[in-house]
Amino acid sequence: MKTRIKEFRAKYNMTQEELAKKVGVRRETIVFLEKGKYNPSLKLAYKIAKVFNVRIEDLFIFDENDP
Amino acid sequence: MKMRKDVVTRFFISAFMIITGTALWILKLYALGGGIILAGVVLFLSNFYYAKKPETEILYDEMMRRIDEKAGYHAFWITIIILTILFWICKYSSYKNVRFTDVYSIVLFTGLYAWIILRFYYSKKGILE
Repeated sequence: MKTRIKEFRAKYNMTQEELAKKVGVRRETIVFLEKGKYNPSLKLAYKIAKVFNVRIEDLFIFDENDP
Repeated sequence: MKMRKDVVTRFFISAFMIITGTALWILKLYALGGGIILAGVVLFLSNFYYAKKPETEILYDEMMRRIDEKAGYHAFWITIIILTILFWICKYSSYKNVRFTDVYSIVLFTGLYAWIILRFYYSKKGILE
């Protein structure tokens, strides 16, 4: 699943660590999310979307062909 | 120097383990005592490494929980397979007089190391579900 987290982080001038601290996860989790190596829970997706004040669908691009 | 609460807790736990291990060693339970002392020392030393890390590097979050669960699930089945293989070896080979105490360490360490290796593998590869 592709994400636009990096794009929004750059827009808000936020580091991975700052975002990780705001949503209560490891920095590594944010790294894996941005690389598409990890699919977040709904709760985490919601928290991240709330930080950037966007909808979950705007942040996470779901492809039906994803495993 | 202000330390995180979990660092202080870990120091106390490692000290307790070393003391307990020493007591067991004095009671002539050398294997158990030695194992607990070693684990306490490793925990004590690793604490110095983790003390410098910010929480965002070591927090036990949802991703780590899922990695643990996935690694545990696969390690469980690897352990079952090893047990099954050992059972059939004992049943049909010349090793009919093998006792449980002879093979439990194989099963124990296979399961333990399978979990540790798989945990490391999934933390590098990531998990997609």
